This record gives sequence, C-alpha cells and structure tokens, in this order.
Amino acid sequence: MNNYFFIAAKNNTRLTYDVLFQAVSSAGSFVSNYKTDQADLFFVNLLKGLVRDKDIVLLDADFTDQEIFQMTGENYAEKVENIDSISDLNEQSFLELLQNSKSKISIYTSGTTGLPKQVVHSVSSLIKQVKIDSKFNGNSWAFAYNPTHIAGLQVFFQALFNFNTIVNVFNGDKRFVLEEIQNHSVTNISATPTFYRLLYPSEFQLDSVKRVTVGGEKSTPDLYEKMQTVFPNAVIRNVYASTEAGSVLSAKGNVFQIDEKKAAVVKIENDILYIHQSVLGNSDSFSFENNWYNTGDIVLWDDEQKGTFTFVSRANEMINVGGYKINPNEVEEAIRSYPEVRQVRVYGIPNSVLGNVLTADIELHADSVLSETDVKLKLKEKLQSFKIPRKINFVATINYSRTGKISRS
Amino acid sequence: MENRLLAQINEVLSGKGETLLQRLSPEMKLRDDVGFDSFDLAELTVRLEEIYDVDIFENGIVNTVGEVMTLLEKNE
Repeated sequence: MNNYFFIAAKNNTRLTYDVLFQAVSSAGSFVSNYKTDQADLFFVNLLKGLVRDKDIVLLDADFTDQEIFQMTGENYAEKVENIDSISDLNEQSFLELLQNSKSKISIYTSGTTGLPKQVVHSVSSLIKQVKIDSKFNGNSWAFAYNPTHIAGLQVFFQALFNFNTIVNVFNGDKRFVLEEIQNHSVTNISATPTFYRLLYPSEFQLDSVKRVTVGGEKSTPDLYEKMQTVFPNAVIRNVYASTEAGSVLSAKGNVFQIDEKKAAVVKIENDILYIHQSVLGNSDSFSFENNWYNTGDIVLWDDEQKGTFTFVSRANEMINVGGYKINPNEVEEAIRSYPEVRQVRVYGIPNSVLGNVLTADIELHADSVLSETDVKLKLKEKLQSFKIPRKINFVATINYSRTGKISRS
Repeated sequence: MENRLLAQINEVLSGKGETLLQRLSPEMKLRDDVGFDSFDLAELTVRLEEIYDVDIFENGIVNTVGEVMTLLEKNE
C-alpha cells in the first residue's frame, strides 16, 4: 500500500503503509519500555511488539529519571530484545495479528494520591471502540495527543485499522497546525478544548475537516460556536474518556446521555459518575464498590428520566492544565523535598489559554532564601515540564482548612 | 510600558532557564520570535492580569507584542 501511514513535517518524516509493514515484519530489535519524542519511531516500535505478543510499557518522552524510578522502582535503562521476522505481512494478516494480540500495554496515569499509577490494557480493550468501515477509506487524521496516553492510542488505532494517514500536529503551534491540516486535507481531528481554543481565530477556514471530537477537559458552549467557524463542514462531537476505561460516552455539545445500551456500564449515584469493572483496564490502584469504579467526576442531572447530564467538575482534586491532569499532591511532594521549604500549596488559577495555570504558594523556613526561578529550575530535574507551577508566590503562612488539609480553593 | 512588559516576558523565560531578551519591538511575534508555547502564554496572561487586571486573551488570540501593548495601554 503506497498511501501514507504517518506524516511528521517537523522531522521530515513520511512513511507509507508499505514501509510500515516492512519495518514491523523484519527481524531486528524491540524495546519494551521505549522512550522517544518521535511519534513515528514510537508507533513502529509499539506495532513490532504487538504483532509478536510482547508486553510493553508506555513512558512519556519527558518523564525524568527520578519520576521513572519512583514509579517503577528501578533506574531507567532501555530493555531491548531481538525479534524474528514475520513472513508475508500484508494488510489482512497485519490486522489479524493486532486483533488477536496477547500483548499487555501499561500506561501511566495521574493518580489521585502521589505518583502516576499504572493501568494495564489489553489490545482488545483498546480497540473495542475502533470502527472499521469502507466509508472511512481515504480519511486522514490530525494527531494532536501524546502518543503514550489513552486518547492518543485510540486515535492511532482508529486511523490504523482503516489504513488512514496520520498527520502529526502534537505540540505544534497555531500556524503549523492550520497549515498541516490544510496541506494534507485532514478529515478528522480529535483533541482537547485547549487545542481548539488556540486555533481560533483562524486566518482561513478548514473545509476538508468532516469530523471534530473534543475531549479530556470540561468544555463550554461558546467553544463549539468558535470551532464551527474554523471547521464549517465538520460535525462536532464531545467525548468523555478516561485513562482507566478509554472513551465511554459521547455527546453533541455539553449534554451527555446514559441510554439503555450504556446503562450496564455507566451509572450516576449521589451526583458522581461510576464506570463498571467490565470496561476498565487492570490496576492495583482501582478500588471497586460492588464492581463499580468511582471516577470522582461530579455531574449534574439535566433530565434524570432521559438519563441526560452535564459535568460539573472532573475528578475531585486533579487540576486540568491544557488537557493534562495534574495531581497537586505529587507537585507539592516534590517542592516540599527542598530543605528551604516549610510548607507548600499547589492549585490552579482559571486561565483563558489553558483552562488553568498551575500555581504554588510556598512558605519558607525562617532565614531561607529561594527565588521563583530557583524553584522552577530545580523542579525540572524532578518533574515533567507541564507539572511545574508557572506562578510561584512566597507567602508568610499557608492556609489550612478546618479538617487540617491544605486548602486549595 | 515596554519595559514592564519586557520584565514579565523575561520572568517567563528565566523560569525555563532560557536567555533573556534585551528589548522588545511591537512587530515581534510571541510564538515565533519570543518562542512562547501555550504554557508560556498562559503564564504571561496570569502575570499581566495581576498587574493590569486585564486578560489579554479574553477575546481570542493575541499574536504580537504590539497587540499586547495596545490592550494594556487601554487599561492603564
């Protein structure tokens, strides 16, 4: 197949499906804990493993050594193994190998206490939402997510199973994203509200785009109106997805519905959304209440009879910064490790660009000196850059709530 | 005005360990010339909002230093 599998203008990469099959089927090496910021290399390595039933751990390219040590209990070193060639890999056998793959894929997701937690998915659970249809022939996808996260994987598999082209726009600036979408006549985009907010206002309309999906953060009605001006021919859908379960519900606009089909796997109790165990990946950190997982996401009934609702806030303490969920406890722990720091409080301030800007109030020990820049540069050694507070205030005392917890409001 | 904006932009750059700017000119683009990504732009809005009480991105995306200065001057 000589149509393109992957286009990344940033590093001048263009891979056809023929080249992909060749790379995946030939003998060589596979890395089970590969860490790279080049998405094409990441995906080729992933597929090499999946068609051979190898287990794989997905690590963000910018995880620091310290973060990996704390999460896995060992220092990071590439785990390389030799792999044999697969003969006569073609479209059909490739898809069959993937569909029947016994690989386990481990993803790290922001935990509710402390460090990111590991969630293990099977290939079948990740591809259960994938739709294969001849009407998707010739589609091309703008790839706007981190490839190591569940939303990125779901976009990847949806495109791959229909042999669509993936155009990488992850971390691109406005002009780059608009030009790539136009140059490659992209038809589908799935991204966070932050991503779409940055495209508006656009100097030109993107007529080729047929379907736009919004997810990962709470979005607002005015965003849909703005998006429609940039993508005049697109159907805009909103999805509710989580690292634990992948995409669960979708909606037109802000109002989601639990219909008869979904009632077996999604329910609302005391204004909190629960997901059934049967649709989740595996993790030691899940606790179930009679087979139901408490997402911590707070919702408001729109019409209880019809099963319609809107989201009030996503996962209690997590701070959503541009679609990245940040656990304030993890950041506080890192800052508190410095001897100058007596107490710290991390929270989000509402912001029109990212939704929230991560902020820290720090109380220093008497006679200690530390500047805003000192703290940020020190944190670079410990945390991924999106977890580093952008605004640091040095305060005389940190406020506590009446229960003795640090007050984040 | 220019110096106060320069100080805030340099505060953002310094937190990332990057070289500070010597001066600003109105035609400089925040993304292409200053090298800001969306996280940097968000940080700048928070810093400017504290001083000028105006959200420079409230009505869509601002591209150049000159556009920021115009918005800030209106609120000074």
